[in-house]
Amino acid sequence: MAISINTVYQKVLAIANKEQRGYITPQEFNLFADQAQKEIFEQYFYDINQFNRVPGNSTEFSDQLYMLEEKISAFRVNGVSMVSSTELVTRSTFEAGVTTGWTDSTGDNSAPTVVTEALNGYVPSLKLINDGSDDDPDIYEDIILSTSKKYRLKVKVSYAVDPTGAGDSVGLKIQAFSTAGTEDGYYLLQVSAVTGGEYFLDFEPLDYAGGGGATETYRIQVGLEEDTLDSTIIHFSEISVKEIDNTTLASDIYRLGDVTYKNTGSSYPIGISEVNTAELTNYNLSLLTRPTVSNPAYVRSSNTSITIYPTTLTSGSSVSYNYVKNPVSPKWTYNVVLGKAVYNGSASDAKDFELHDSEENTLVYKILELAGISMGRADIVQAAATRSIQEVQQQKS
Amino acid sequence: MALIEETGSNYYNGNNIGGYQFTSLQDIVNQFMIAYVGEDKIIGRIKKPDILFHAQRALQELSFDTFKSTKAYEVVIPPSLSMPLPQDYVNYTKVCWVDKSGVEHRIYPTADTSNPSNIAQTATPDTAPYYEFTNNELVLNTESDTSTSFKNDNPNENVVNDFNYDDELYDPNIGQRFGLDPQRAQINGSFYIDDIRGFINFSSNISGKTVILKYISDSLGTDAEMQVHKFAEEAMYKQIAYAVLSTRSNVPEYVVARFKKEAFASKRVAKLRLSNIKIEEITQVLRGKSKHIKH
Repeated sequence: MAISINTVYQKVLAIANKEQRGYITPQEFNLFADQAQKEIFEQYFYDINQFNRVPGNSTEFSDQLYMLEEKISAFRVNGVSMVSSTELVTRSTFEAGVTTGWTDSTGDNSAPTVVTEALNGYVPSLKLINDGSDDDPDIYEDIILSTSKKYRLKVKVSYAVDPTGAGDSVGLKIQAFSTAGTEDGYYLLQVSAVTGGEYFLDFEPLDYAGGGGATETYRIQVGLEEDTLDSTIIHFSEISVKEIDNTTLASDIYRLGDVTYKNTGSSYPIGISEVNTAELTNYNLSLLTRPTVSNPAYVRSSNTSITIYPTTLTSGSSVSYNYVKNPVSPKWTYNVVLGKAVYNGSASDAKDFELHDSEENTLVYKILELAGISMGRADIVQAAATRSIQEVQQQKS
Repeated sequence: MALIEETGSNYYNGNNIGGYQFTSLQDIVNQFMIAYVGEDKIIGRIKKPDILFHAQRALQELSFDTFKSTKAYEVVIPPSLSMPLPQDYVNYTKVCWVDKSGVEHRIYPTADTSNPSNIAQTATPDTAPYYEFTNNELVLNTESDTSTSFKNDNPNENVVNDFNYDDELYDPNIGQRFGLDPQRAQINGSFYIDDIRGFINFSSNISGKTVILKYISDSLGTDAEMQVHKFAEEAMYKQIAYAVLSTRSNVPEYVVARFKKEAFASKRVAKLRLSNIKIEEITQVLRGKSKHIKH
C-alpha cells in the first residue's frame, strides 16, 4: 500500500521530456515529492470537513468520507500511552562491547555480548543464547522508581531464533519486581518473541515494605524462558524503561485525535475533553464544571505535550490517545553509474510515498507542476495544473 | 445488548441491591453525547464540561420537585432542643417524632418565634454607646433571649382538656372571638429553622423524643447519589438538550421552543410515573369515598 517513488519519478521524467529540456535532478525531485505528499495529505482534513456537509452515499466503495478515511487510515495510530522521553535505565540501546548498567545473569550460558550483523539488520543488539544447562539466561538492572508513578518497560527484539525447529518458539520473559521480594508488586510478561517484535510491560512500583515509602528499588529483568538447552538466540536492540507521564505525545504526531481515560475498575474508556487555558480557568470556577477524576479535561501545552486535569488521577487508571502521524518524507535513493543516477531501492534511507495507491496520479501532476515552476516551463505548469484541476473536479463534483 | 451483566450471585451478595432502577449521571452524560451530539445531530459540537454543567443542573431541578424524597435522619433531641441540619440539606419535606409503636407524628413549623442575633449591650443600655464592642466589632451573645424563652416555655398546646383560648366573654359577643387555630390544634410540638446558624430548634415538648427529619438534597453531594431513576431518564435528556439549545446562539427559536415543550412534557411524565399511583391501591382508597373525610 505504498506508492513506489521510482515509478513516480520515471513518470514525471517521461512527461517532462527528460531527454530534451525536462531533466529533474534526484535532489530536486525529492524536495518536490515531499512537498506534493504534504499538500495532498493536508488536503484530506479539509476535504473531510467539506464532505461532512454534503449527503454521502451508502455504496460500498465510493462514499467520499469512506474513501478519505481509508486514505488516512495508513497514518492512524491508536491507543498510545503517553510516555516520557527520559530514559531510566543506564543503557537502553547498545554499542559494541558495552553493556554498562546491565548485570549478567546468564548462569553457565555464554555471557551476553553486543553484536551487529546481518541477522539483526546491522542494529547493535545485546545477544543472549541458551547454550548452557541453565535454561533461562537473562540480564537485569536495579533502578529506583517512584511508588506513585506508572512506568513502561519496552523490549525490542531485533532477532529471535529457536534452531530446534518450526514447532518450537523463542520464549521471552520480561519482569519487573521489587528487590525486597516478589510476593506483591510483581509484573511479568511471558510471550513468544519474533524478529522485529516490540513488547511492553506497564507497571506501578509497589512500596513492598508498606511503610509509605515514596520510592522502591525495582529489578528490570529481561531474558529467555526456555525449558531445555536448545541454543535459542535472541537479540535485544532496545530495553527501555520510561515513565508513563500522561503528558508526552509522540514526536511524529501530525494531528491529535481523541484522548481517552479508563478509570480504575471501568471496562471502557471515556473521552477526555480538550479545553483551552481560558476555558479551563472558567471551568475551574464552577463546582459543576471543574475537571474531576470521573470527567477529566486536558489542555495542549505544546505540540508534543498535554496537561491533564486534575493532575492526580486515580491509581490504576490509564490514559491513551489516538493520533494521525506525520507522513515520512519520500526519498529516491541512487547510485551513480557511468555518470548517471541509477535507482537503488535497497538503500537503508530509501523511502516510498506513504500515501494511498489511488494518489499516484495526483502525485505525478503535483510534482510536475512544481518542477515546471522550478524549470520556468509554463507549458508543463499549465498542463499539470489543468489535469490536476480536472481530476479534482471529477472527484468532487 | 442486554443490560444486566452482573450474575445473580454477585447481585444478591453485593451492595447494589435495587440499583437497576437507577442510571448514573455519568451514564446519562455519556449517552447524551452519543445520541444528541455530533454530525447530523441536534447539537453539532459541545464540550463535555458544558454538558456536565447542564446535566447537574437538570439533576438538581428534578431532585427538587420530581424525584422521590429518600433522605431522612433520625435523632434523639437533646436538652438543647437543637438539631444541626444535614450536610446536604436543601429543604425539609417532613419533620416528625416517633412514638413507641414506630408511628410518626408530624411536627409543624411555627412562624411565631425565631433566633435573632443577640447584641450584647452595655451596663447602661439607655446611654450611648449602647452596644458592646471588641476590636471595633459588635459583641454578640451566643443565644437570643427569644430562643431561650421559646425553649423554656411549656407550650399551651400541651393542655389538652378544657383549654380556654379566650376566657373573656366580651370578645365573642362583639365578633372578635377567633376560632381554633388549626396549625396549633395539635400537641405534637413545633419547630423553626435557624437558617443562619444551620440548626432546627424544637419546642420543649420534643425534648428526649426521637425525631425524624425527612429532607431533599440536590443529588450532587456524592458520586454515589448522582443517579437518576429510569422513569426520569428521558426527562434528563430533554432537560439537558433544552438547556444547551436555549443557551447557544444561532439556534432557531422553533428548535428551542420544541425542546422546551418536550422538556416540560417529559418532566411531567416523570413526575406522574414517580408518583407511584397504583390502580388497585387507589381503588382501595376510593372505596371509603362515601365516608366522612377525616384528618
